Amino acid sequence: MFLFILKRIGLGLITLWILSVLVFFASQVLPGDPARAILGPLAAPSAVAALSKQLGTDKPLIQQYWTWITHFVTGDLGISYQYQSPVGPLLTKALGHSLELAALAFVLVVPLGIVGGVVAALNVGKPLDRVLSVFGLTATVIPEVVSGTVLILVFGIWLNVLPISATWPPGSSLGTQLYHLILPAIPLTLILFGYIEQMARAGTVEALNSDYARTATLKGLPRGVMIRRHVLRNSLLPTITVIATQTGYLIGGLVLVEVLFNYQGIGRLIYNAATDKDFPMLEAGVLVIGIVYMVATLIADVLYTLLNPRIRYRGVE
Amino acid sequence: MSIGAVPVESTAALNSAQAEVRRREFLRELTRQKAFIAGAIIVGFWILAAIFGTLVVQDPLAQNLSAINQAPSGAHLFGTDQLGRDVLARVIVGARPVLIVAPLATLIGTVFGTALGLVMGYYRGVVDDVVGRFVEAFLALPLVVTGILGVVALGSSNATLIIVIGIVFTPLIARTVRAAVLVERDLDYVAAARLRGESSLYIMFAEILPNILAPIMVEFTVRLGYAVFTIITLSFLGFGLQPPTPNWGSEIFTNISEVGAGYWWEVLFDAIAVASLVVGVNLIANSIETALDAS
Repeated sequence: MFLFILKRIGLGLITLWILSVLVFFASQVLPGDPARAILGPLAAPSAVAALSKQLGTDKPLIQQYWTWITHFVTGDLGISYQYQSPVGPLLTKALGHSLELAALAFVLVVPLGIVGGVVAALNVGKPLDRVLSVFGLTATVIPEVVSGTVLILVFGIWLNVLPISATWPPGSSLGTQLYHLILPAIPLTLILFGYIEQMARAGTVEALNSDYARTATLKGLPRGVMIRRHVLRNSLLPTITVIATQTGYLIGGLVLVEVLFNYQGIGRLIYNAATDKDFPMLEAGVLVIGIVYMVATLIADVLYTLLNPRIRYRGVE
Repeated sequence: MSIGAVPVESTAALNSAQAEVRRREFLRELTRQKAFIAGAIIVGFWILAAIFGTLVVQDPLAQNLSAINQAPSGAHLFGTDQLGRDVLARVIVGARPVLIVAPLATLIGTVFGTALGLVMGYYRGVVDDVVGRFVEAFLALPLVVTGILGVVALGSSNATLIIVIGIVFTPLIARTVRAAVLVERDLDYVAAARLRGESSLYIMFAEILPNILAPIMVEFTVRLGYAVFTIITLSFLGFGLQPPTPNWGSEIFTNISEVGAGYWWEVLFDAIAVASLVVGVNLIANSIETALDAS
């Protein structure tokens, strides 16, 4: 068990290293020269050369990568070209905002998805099951651009009951903050609902058809007790893994939602960095997203093993 | 679907006869499904719109500054935008770039992903481990973020979009193909081919590949839906399809700031168009999966 976690962390670190190389070289292959991008097309070549020297962008790529990654590991994420201030604090603040939004989406979607899936499974083949499945599948495939736009129109403009900007006035209470986050959280919730619902449904259907469920029924357990004690415990296990792997999709959705609803999270930060060619910010932001994803899947794997005593991991596939 | 017991020399003949029967069975299962018919009608409509749209509607680029932000009416069924352009025309014509870029990108991803998956699954060992790490690294990033990074690195154009989405899909499809190859490689027909002295390349592409076409086809249609999703999202963010040709993502981005003034028609019809295409593609993908399971 301990070895399994250790091996998972080791593999995760290797993956992160590859990711850091990919991210770094992807943003250095760029056609634009960072110094030129900052100073604009009219700046004198000597000024551009001086700034390149100051930024370190005149050195060989390998050396630049080494400087970047060794600083990154010690928590120094570089200086943002655009804000002219350290990337670290900006990123941390934005990540906090994003986590607040993501947490709200999770709090909404996890219970809804699980209840939806279990209800569908208990009514397999009936109209309710069909309605839930069709809704779940549709919600999952529709881009956040679409759901977000429709939500803005319906709740923000026509009914005028919810704010269409997620940015709350400074010094707002948690209640006001959440009020501003409801609308942006819904597109994320819709995307995730289908996955969780399908997973919970499949797990519950399988558990309901199992031998132990039949035994429990035959020995005279009331249906409610049988479902609670025997079915749900087994069926919700795979759902945990799915929920964790969805963090990746969730972060992808954050970029869009944060831009659409004007919210200062990590998605919007990366979007701005990419638009303004703010490479230190872009590289750090993307790598942080990779780290968040790896940590989330690691936690899911560990949770799964801890909760499922039947599994003894010998190797990692 | 093992054909392991068949004498080696007759596999080819039997294979094609069997394949013909299975194909017919698959098509019958597929066309029997209402979801497939619905999906085919929706996607078919947008394909027609992409090809012939310009012939039917008004000029999507023609500005009329004396008729800006007009609500839907007889003259402009979907209203006009902030430059007085006909929204209906722009929605119909907007189908074209998506329907060119999405299938091409998915095709690239499928071709390379299949080749990579075959190599990974067939050789396993070091190749599999090394490539597997790269796949993992790619998967740690959301599609949209990788897309943004790729477009920033290569510059924005429709060709970039095709390449970037193709590259991102490659490891995803490789993973599915690899899993399918792992099942096939231990079957008797592969061992038979090896004993005949066939080259690895021949075994991978001529023996194993025909037997894993079903999961690859499912993967292609599912990915096609994701491709549309990603293209629209990236276009909305300004990293995707480029103006002046109208496209649904940029249309929503340009006009969303106008909805506060009540000009809902400038974004709603584009949103509906996106939703219908994505749902249509996914209906087809689901139907293919069901039909393959049934046949």
